Amino acid sequence: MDPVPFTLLLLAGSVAAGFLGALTGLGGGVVIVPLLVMVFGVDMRYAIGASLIAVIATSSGSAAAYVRDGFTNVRIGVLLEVATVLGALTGAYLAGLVDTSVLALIFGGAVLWSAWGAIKPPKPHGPELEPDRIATRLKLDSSFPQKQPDGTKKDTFYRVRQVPGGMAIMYGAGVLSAMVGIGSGIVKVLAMDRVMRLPFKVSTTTSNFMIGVTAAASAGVYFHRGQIDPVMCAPVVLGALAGSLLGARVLPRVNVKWLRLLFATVITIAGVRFIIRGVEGLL
Amino acid sequence: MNEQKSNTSTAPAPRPPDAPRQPINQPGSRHILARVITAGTLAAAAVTLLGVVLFLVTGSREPVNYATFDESPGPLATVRGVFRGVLDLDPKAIIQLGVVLLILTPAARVACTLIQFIIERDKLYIAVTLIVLAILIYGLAGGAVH
Repeated sequence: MDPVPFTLLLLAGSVAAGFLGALTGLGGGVVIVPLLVMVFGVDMRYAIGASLIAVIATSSGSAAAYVRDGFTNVRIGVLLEVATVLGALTGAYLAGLVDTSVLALIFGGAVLWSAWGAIKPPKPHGPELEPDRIATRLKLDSSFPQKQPDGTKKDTFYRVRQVPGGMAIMYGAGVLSAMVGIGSGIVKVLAMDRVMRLPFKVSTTTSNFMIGVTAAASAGVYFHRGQIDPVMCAPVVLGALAGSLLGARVLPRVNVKWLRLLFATVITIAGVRFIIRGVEGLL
Repeated sequence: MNEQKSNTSTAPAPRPPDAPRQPINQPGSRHILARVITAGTLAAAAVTLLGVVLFLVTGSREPVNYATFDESPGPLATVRGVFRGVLDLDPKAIIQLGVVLLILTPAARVACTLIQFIIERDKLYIAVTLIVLAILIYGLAGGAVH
């Protein structure tokens, strides 16, 4: 394909991917890989490389705002990064060993899981917890500005628990993220929300803060392996960044419930197609 | 219920007695961290944009084909190759420089966090952050490529 229309079409597609990813909370990766592979006929290995770069861009783009607003728990972020970054190196290494059919299969599974996570209603946060020995020693308990019914914001204290379990899941999140080029926010939210019991707002923003660092570790590996192609990455990065910044702006003003459902359906179809593709490739 | 709400909306949040103080999550540190993240991302995006514009205006018209992965990494898969290309004003190398800058932004973010913990003399988290940084640098330097 001629490089000029390729770049412009990819730019448009990536703006849409970044926009929808931010609005639905699914992240750009689950859209960019199918966009590149199914619409543009790109090899999985290039698609994963470009997607990881877009994941870094969108994470950095929105992390700044959240860090400033005080939602991100930097201590938890750094601590869990030990696990995610190690996982990312493991995943990038493994991805170099397996066939693209295996990658397609794993990607399909991850997409279906993300779609399910997007339509399932979030669980309300539990009652005040007892102090956890490890979390207390690691000084992880903190507070965040929570909106009150009267519209004011009040610093609300929260406790953290199950640090080892959380870290084990985060290692898995790092492996998954690196292997198929997604932020794997769904796994991170599972670890922080369900296992470590962080408030939803804190877990999503802290996860977003970590996603960039995790993706950078594996992107470094892919860069040296030649999976980061500049002509393909440029429109993906710029488009995803612009789209996600736009999405973050629009987010407070729209009802995302239906959009999320529609989007989850679309990526479910993509996920199934990836699984079929993977199975066919292996047979 | 109502009485309690009007009490707490003006007073600072009640803090359990065993709650640790967390300077790193305080506004001052947060603003520096936020600024580093924003500056790095914008710089990377600007360089990438410059490269794309140059590529579209002056770049070759040779068709792109990404249907199969080229197993042998080209010159733009090393930092040295990227810099050499940038000096030759190769649009692809300029884009790749933007991409490299973008990959480095999170590392700068971790380095900033490290400085904050050093200022606070939080030995435990200085160690944790150093571990993250070491693993990250190992990956960025091309470890685990095999």
